[in-house]
Amino acid sequence: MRYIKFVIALALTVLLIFTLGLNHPYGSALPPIGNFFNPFSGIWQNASNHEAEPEELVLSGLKEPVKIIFDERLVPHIFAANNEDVFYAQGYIMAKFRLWQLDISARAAGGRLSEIMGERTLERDLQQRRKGMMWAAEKAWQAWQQSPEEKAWVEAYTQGINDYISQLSPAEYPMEFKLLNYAPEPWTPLKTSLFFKNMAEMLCARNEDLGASNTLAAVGQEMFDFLFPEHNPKQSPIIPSSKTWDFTPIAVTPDTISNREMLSQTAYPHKGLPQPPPFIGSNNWAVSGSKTADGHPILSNDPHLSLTLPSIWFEIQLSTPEFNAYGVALPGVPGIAIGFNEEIAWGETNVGQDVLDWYQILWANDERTEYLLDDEKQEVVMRTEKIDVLGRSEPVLEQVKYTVWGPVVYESDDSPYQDLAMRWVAHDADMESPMHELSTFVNLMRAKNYEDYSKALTSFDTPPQNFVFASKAGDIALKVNGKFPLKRKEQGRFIQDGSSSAQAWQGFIPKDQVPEIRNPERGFVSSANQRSTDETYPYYYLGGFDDYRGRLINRLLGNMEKIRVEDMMAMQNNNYSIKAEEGVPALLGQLDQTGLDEMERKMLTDISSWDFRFEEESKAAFLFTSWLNAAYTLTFDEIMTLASDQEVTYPETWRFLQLIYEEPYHEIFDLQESPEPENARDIITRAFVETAADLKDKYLEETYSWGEFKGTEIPHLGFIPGMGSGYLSVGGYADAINAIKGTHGPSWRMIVKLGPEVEAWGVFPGGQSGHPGSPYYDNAVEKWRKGEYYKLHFFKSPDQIDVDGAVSWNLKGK
Amino acid sequence: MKFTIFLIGLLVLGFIFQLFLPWWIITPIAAILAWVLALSPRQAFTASLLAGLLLWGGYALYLDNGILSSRLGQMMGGLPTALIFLLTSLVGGLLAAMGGVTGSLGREILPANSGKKY
Repeated sequence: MRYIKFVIALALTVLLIFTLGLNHPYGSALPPIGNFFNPFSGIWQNASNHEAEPEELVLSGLKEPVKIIFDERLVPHIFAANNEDVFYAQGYIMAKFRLWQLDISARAAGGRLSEIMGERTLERDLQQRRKGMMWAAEKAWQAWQQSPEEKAWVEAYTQGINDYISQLSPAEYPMEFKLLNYAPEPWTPLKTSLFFKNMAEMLCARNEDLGASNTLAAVGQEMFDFLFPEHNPKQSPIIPSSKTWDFTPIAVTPDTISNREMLSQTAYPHKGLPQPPPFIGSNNWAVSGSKTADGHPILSNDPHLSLTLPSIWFEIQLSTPEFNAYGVALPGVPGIAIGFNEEIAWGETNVGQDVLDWYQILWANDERTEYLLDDEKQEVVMRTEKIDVLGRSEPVLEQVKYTVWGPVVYESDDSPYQDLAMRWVAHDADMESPMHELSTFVNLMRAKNYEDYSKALTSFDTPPQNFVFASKAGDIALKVNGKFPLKRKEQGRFIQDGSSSAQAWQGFIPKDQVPEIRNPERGFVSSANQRSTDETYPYYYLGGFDDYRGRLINRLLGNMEKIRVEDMMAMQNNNYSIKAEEGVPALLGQLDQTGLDEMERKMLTDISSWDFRFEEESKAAFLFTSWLNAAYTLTFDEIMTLASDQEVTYPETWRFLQLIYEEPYHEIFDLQESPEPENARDIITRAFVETAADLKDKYLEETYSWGEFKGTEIPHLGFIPGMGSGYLSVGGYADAINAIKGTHGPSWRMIVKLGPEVEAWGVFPGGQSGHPGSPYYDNAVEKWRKGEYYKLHFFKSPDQIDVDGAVSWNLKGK
Repeated sequence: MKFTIFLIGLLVLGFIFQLFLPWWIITPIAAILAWVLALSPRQAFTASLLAGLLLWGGYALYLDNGILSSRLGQMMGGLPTALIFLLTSLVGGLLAAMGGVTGSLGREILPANSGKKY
C-alpha cells in the first residue's frame, strides 16, 4: 500500500514537472508555465525598476572612455572621443532598451519568424524571401564593406549590441523572449541592412501595377482614363510652380508599341502581396526667418508610421569631436535619422513615387527555368532560401528564380504565362560608391550648412525621402531625394512586357536633377507626400500621392506671419481637412432632401454646420466619412464587383468629388444591379439614407463620437494583448495634418528653432524603454495624445548638465 | 516544531537554490527536507505548500512594480492582479507540495523506517 502511494506521488510529481516544462502545452500558445511564473527567472524579473540608475561599466569593445547621461525621460546623451565608440555605445543602449524589437524586426524583414513561431508565419517568411529581402540585404552589406567608414560604424554598433547580449542571463531576457520561449541571438551587420530593407518595404514598395492592369482590362481604355487621371488640378506640389528647371534632361526613348496593348484581356490570377496602406503620410516644413516672430528659421517634422509599443523611434544625443547631434534613431541603425545639431536641422517625409515595377515573364520551357528576352533564351538563376521552422525537423527549402528583372515573385501553375518578376530600386546596391544611406545620416549629423546637407543626400537611394533642411545661417531647403528610375510616359503604371529589354528602366535620374528648392520667395518649404512637382518637371513619374494635407499646409503657411514655435505645434495638431471642406458641399449639393425624417434632418444639420475639423468629440466627422464612403462604394460598383476575385485599383477620392461636381449624369453613377439609370443625385441620396440607418444607434448615443468611431490605439509590436496602449481618446484624420488613424499616425513630432542656441521640442507616442514592465514604456503617450511637447535637452558637454533626475554612466575599455 | 523548522528551512534553501538553479529545484529540496526531517505525508504536504506559496508569491510581490502585474492581468484576459499573484503562488506551492509528499512517502517505504509513526 505504501509502495503504491509512493509510486503514485512520484508519478504525479514527475507529470507535474513535465507538464509545467512543456512549450505550447497541449496545443495552446503558452510558454513553459513553470519557468514563466518562477519569480527567480520568469516573467516577474521583467518588472523594470532599475533602468534609471548610475552604472560604471568596463566594456572590451571601447577604445576610450565614454560618458552617458540619461536625462529624466531616460534619453541618453552619449559623449565619446571617436565615432566608433559613440556607435558602440548607441548599440549597447539600444540593446538594453529595445532588444526584442531589434530581434523581431530583423526576423520579420528577412523572413525568419518561423524559427520561433512555427508554421503560422511560414507563408509570410516565404513571401519575404521570394521578394528578395534577404538577397537585397546581403548585397547592401557587401556594398557597405566597400566603405571603410560605414563598415567600422556598423561593426562597432553590432559589437555594442552583442556585448550587451553576452552578459545577459536568461532571467534578464526581455519578457517577449520568455513568452515566445526563445533566446536572443547575436546581432550582425546584415540585420542592420535588413532593417533598411524593412524601411524600404514599408515606404517604397507600394504599387498598383497588378490592380491597374486588371482594371484596365475590365473597364476598357476609355473608362480607365476617365476614372484615373494622373494629375489633380488642385494639387499643390512639394516644389512650388515658381521653380524653373535649369538642366538639360536626359532623353528618354518613347515606347514603340503601347504597353497597354501587351496586357492580356484576362485578369492576372495572383493574389496581391500584402501592401502598406496607401499614402503613408508624413509632414515636414521649414519657415525662413522672414516669416518668424524672432527672425530665426523653424523646422517641423512629423513622420506618420504604424503606431506600436515599443515605439519605432528612440531619442538620443550623440556627441564626438566630429559632431554633436540630437534626434531620433531607428532601432537597428547607427546614427540619427531625424534631428538637428548645433548648426542645422533636418527631417524626412516619404516620397510617393512608384519605384517597384512588375515584368511578365515569357517562359521558354515548361520547367520555367528559361525565358525569352528579345527572342533569345535566358536561364534563370536559382537562389535557394532555407527557412527553419519551429516544430519541423527539416528546414523548408524554397527555390526562387531570378531573371534580369529580379526575382519571380508571382507564379501560377494555371497560367504560367502570367508569372511576374519584380524590379525594385531597393534591390540595387551601389558597390562602386564609398557612401550609402548610413553615410547620409552621419554626414547630416556632421553637416554645418546647406552645402554639407546637399552633399550628404547624394548617398541616399532608398527609400526615397523628402529631406527638409534649415540652418542657423538662415537657409531653408527641401529635396525630393532618392534613386528614381528614368521612365517613359506610363512606364510602370501597368505590368510590363518582360520579354523585351526595351521595357527596362532607361537608367536613373541624376542626383543633381531631382526636384529641389532652396530659399523660395514664399519663405517656406514643405512636403506631405503629395506630388513632387507640377507637370513642367521634365521627367515622368507616377505613384500614390496625398491630395489634401499638402494643400492645407501650403495654404496655412502662406497666410502666416510672425510665426512662433507654438504656432508650429498647433499646426502639427491641426485636425482640419480639405477633404471635408470639399466633400461636404459636394455631397450636400446632390442630396435630395424630400422625404427625410426628423433624425435624418438632425444629422444633416450637424454635417452642414460642421467646421471640417476631425476633433475627438465630433459627430459630423463620422457621419461625413461614412456617407462619403457609402456613396463612393455605390458609384464604383463596377470595380467593387471585380474586386471579389482579382486585384483591382480604385479611383482617388479627389476624382470622385470632381465627378460629382462636373459629371453628375455620367454612366459611372449608374448602378449595375438596377434596371433604371441612376445619377449622382440618386446615389448620394441613397448613400445618405443607408448611412443614417446604419449609424442611427451610434448617433443617438450621447457620448459616441469620432474618437470612438476611429478607435485609435497603439498595439504591441507583436500584438501581445495587454502590452499595448488600449483605446486612446484622440482626434485626427488621415487627410488632416494631424493624421491619426486607427493604429497609424504621427510617430514623432519635432520642432526645431535655429536661433543663436538651437532649441527643440518633441514627443513620440511611447517611451524610451521597450520593456512593458517599465514606467518608461509608454510614459509619453498621454502627452502625445494631448498634443503637448517636451522641451529637448541638448547639451554641449557632459559637464554642463543641470537636469533634475539625470543619471550618469561611465564606460571604459579594458 | 518540526513543521516550523521545515517551513523555514524550505524557504531559506528554496530561495538560495532558486537564485541559480531552474524552477523545478524547489520540488527535490522539499522532498529531501521532508525525508530528512521525517515529516508525515500530511505535514509535509501542508508545510511544503505553504512554503512554496510564500516563496513564489512573496518574491513576485517584492519584484512587482504595479505596472507589470497590471499588464499581465490584461494579457490574461483582464484577470485582477491578485489572481496573477495567486496563480504564481499556486505553481510554486504545488511544486513544493508534491515534492514534500513524495519525499515523506519515500522515507516510509524504506524497511528501516516502516512501522515508525510520527
